[in-house]
Amino acid sequence: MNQTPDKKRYLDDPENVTRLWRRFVLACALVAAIDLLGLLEVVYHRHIAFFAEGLPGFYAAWGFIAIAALIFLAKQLRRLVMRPEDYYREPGDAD
Amino acid sequence: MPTELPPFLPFLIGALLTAVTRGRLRSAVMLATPVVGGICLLGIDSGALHQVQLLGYTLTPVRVDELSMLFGYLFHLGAFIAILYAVHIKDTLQHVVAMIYAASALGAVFAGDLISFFLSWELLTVSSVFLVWARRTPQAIRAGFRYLILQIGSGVTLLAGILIHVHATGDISMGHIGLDTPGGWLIMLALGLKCGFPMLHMWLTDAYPESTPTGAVFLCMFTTKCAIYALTRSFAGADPLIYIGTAMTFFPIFFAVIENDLRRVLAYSMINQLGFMVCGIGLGTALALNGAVSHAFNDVLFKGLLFMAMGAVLTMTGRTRASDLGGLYKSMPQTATLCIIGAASISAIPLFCGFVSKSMIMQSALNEGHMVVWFFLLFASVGVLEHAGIKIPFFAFFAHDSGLRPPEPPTNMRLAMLIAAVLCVVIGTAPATTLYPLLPFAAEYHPYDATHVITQLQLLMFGGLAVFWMMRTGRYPTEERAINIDVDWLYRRILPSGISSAENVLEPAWSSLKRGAARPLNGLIALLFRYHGPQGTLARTWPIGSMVIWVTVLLAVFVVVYYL
Amino acid sequence: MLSVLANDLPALQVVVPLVSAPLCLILARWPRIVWLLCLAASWTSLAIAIELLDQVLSGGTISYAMGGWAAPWGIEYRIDAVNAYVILIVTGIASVVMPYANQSVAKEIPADRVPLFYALLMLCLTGLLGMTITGDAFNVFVFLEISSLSMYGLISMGRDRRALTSAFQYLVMGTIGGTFILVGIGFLYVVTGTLNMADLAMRLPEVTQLRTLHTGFAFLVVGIGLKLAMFPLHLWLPNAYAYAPSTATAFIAATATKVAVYALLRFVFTVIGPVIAYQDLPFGEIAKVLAVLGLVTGSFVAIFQENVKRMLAYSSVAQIGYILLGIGLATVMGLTASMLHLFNHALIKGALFMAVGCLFYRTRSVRLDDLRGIGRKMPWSFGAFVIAGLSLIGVPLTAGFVSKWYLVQASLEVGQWPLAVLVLGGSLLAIIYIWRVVEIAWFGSPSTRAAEATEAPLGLLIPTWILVLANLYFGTHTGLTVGVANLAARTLAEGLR
Repeated sequence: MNQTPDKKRYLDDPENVTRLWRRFVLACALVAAIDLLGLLEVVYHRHIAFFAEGLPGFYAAWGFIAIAALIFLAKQLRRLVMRPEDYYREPGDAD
Repeated sequence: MPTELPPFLPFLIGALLTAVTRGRLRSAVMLATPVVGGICLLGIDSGALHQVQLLGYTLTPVRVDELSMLFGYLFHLGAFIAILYAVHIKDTLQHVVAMIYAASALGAVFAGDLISFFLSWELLTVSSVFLVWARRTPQAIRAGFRYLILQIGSGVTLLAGILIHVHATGDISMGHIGLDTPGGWLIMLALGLKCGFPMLHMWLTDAYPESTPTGAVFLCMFTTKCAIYALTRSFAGADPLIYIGTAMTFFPIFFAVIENDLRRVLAYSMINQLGFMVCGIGLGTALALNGAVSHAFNDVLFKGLLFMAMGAVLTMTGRTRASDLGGLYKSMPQTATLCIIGAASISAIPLFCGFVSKSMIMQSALNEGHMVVWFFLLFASVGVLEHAGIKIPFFAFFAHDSGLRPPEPPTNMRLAMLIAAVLCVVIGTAPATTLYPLLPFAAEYHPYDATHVITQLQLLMFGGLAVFWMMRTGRYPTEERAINIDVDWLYRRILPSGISSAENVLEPAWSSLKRGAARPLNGLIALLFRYHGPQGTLARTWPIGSMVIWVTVLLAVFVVVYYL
Repeated sequence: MLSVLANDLPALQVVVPLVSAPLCLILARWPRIVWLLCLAASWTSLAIAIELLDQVLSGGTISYAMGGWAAPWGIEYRIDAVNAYVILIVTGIASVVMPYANQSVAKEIPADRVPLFYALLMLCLTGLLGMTITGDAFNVFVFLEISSLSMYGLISMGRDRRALTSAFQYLVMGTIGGTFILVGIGFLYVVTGTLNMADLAMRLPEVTQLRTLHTGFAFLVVGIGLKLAMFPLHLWLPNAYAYAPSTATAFIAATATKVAVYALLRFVFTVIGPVIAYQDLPFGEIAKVLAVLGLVTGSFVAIFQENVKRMLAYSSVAQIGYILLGIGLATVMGLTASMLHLFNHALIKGALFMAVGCLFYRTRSVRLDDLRGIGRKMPWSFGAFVIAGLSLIGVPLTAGFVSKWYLVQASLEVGQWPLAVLVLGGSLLAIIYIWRVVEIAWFGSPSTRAAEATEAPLGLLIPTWILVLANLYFGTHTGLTVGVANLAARTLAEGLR
């Protein structure tokens, strides 16, 4: 592997990462805000199949909650199923 | 020009030629095979093309209709991409079995009767295991054996199911079977093993990550898609599939979050995607079935692309663990970009191909009034974004810098990834002119309406927001150099070392189970050995006197029985 | 000249190998000519067998009075679909084994005994053909003794010292079996006063001394059961197969038990009649029980064997279980399955033992330990073993599948689900013992013997592969086998309803 010091990348600077993060949060806020307009039927007409789907911010909330729950539950799952890497290892195995 | 060439034949001939040629000639032969096969397929007539008599049944090894044609095109496309990706390696075994593997997949989707289907099914098993063994590590050899045993189990179940089904109905055609008979259940179970039903999925996550970098690309394209095809053909609208499929979308995402080996993450992700398809098949409406088969189509492209990207990383660095990788975008920017396109497609971001197929299944779940199922599917969709959309590219190419600076993979690998990526975007942006005309069932669907796009964006962006928020605040689980046990633990750990090591691993509560299960099994084998082993009563060389006693005993039995 | 001979084909069928046996000894100074003579004799036999089968299929049963003495006074050769089919199996196997014999025998038998070996092989063929073709009960016994005696000789020629004791064991057991058959025939003669099978069949229904008849039948079944290695009378078989020379094993394993099965079928269905055997006497039930026991035990023992030839021998015990099972079912479908398996098992075991003979030719051992890694050194020989093994397991497109398929169908037809499950379970056990060999011989690191081995000569490989390809051919082209087996089964089952 080539170990010579390479040029500094945009993402190597934590400030840039923070900047990107803020822009992303802003974008999320904008996308969620469309729902309010949708409620007023300004930008688009919402087709909804049932009640919950029509709540403003339903999808955004569900997306956020789902991930949070997923990761929380997965961490709990780790307690149950995580084993050392050489758990199944037998003599003579390659790395 | 109409042809009657069986679609699997070009690949079998290709396999033969691959075995005897070397170097550039072999590369040319291998790449030409799917092209020639594809051209022949374009001109093929529909209907039952070939018929053979066997055991008093009329077999139809080649039956062409819209459903089989869709998979026919798909497999040619997939085979071309996978062959292009693999063409640089110098391993005759891998190349030949990959060709046979593709041929048997085509044989399965064009089989017009259950017996031809069964034969292709077995060939699929036997050829695919060599793609695992070709890695040639002790782990791969063992994983291959475990894979083989389970797959043969699927084959035996299928045969038993077919026997019972044929005996009950007298019909051997590969059509709708349904779950009215025990034969139907057995057949579904056999197909289910191949497409990763819960508790039958462990071979997939066990063996695929152990296969060669290029073998995994073939493996992810064919075996499971054949099962999806067969389920669509024979079990469309079977209610249990809705719930099985939902479970399949649901449980792997948890494992995928905490898995360290990125190719194993992809294997879990694969079960999750298959779950959407199985669920669609269970829903059974024209729209849902179209969704299932088109998602299978797209899955070959984007899952192939992701496996190719991870294969490229494995080829160039020799590792696939998330904890060992990171920062690769600095030296592999092209691979990283292509991987991100695959990740975007699997996450069903609008304009990428996952969006135009998965939404059909979701929409059908709503149309059919399966609200709970729909909520689970929605949950699983966000989960896909987490493990396949973000985790895969992020931990391989970004995250903490591992210091690795591998060069880009060989040109043919990048080219193969590029083709898959372009197709992902083209199908994603213009489904109505590319994928939808090929779909076998009659149903109108327009993925791009404002509500759908906006809600999907909200869902995914906020999912992403949650992931990055948890990463930034340290709530995200760290990458551990560890493995997670799955169902295969039962036979990899419990069964073999049931006597000694289980004590340490399991709490005393389990030890009663151990005594209950392992000892009789070992006892049974010991008992069998005692009587059947080389020195056992039933196997040793007997003195003549004893032999004669048996003669007398048997004569006495006969005479007495006859006397009575 | 030819047209004169054409009328005497049934006699020639036996006479050709019979005459070539002493010729082998007369020409002993030129071993190559001896071999060519035997080759010619076996191929001529095959040609005659094909012609006879053709005649039977087109013209029905052939009755040939030996020496012009009409039955029931003289000896009658009586050929119908059943024995024409068995004769085809025997001569067919002989014709494939004979080219194989040349190099294999030269390597395994001391040069001065080679002509003797061929003479015994020819006598054995004579005996087996005679047993099959004759329509006279006593004549069956005579030919049985000819084939048995020559078999003892063949087995004793094995290089392994244990060959002698195995031959001796077989001699004792075979003689007991022969005696039982003779006693059985004697009982039948006592109650009817005739030895001609057709005549016996006519007179037996009128017999009043049922005790004598039943006892005679018991002796016959046990005697023949010994020859066909019916469980638990199979104890002589594993050693006899394991230590005999490769050629002898391949020939005997593929033919001898088949002819014994034929004799059983003939006595049960033609002579005694299915009404007495199945309705008055519980022959079917006993056959089924012994078949199942043999099937299960044979398979399990095979799994644990360390010697490949012994493993295949125990597998034969299991396979005979399948054949017996079909007979026990006593339906046309069951008999068809049995007749089919008679043919297919001959192909399978012939190919397997010949493939093992190829391995033995180079390694001088059939112990699994010594065969470690041999598959990669001798891919063609081992490939033959694997394909024939697949056929033994009953993988579709191989011959073994066809007979298992019919056997399963036959079991289901009479509603015997457990038997169908058992047949499939037996296949699973076969997977295990075949796989054991594959795993060791293909994936193992080569043993010292295997490391030095090279591919077997073409003289062995070609005949082996002919049988292997026959396994594939008859797995996909079932017209001939199923057609004839079905016809034979219907011929036998005439008395069933």
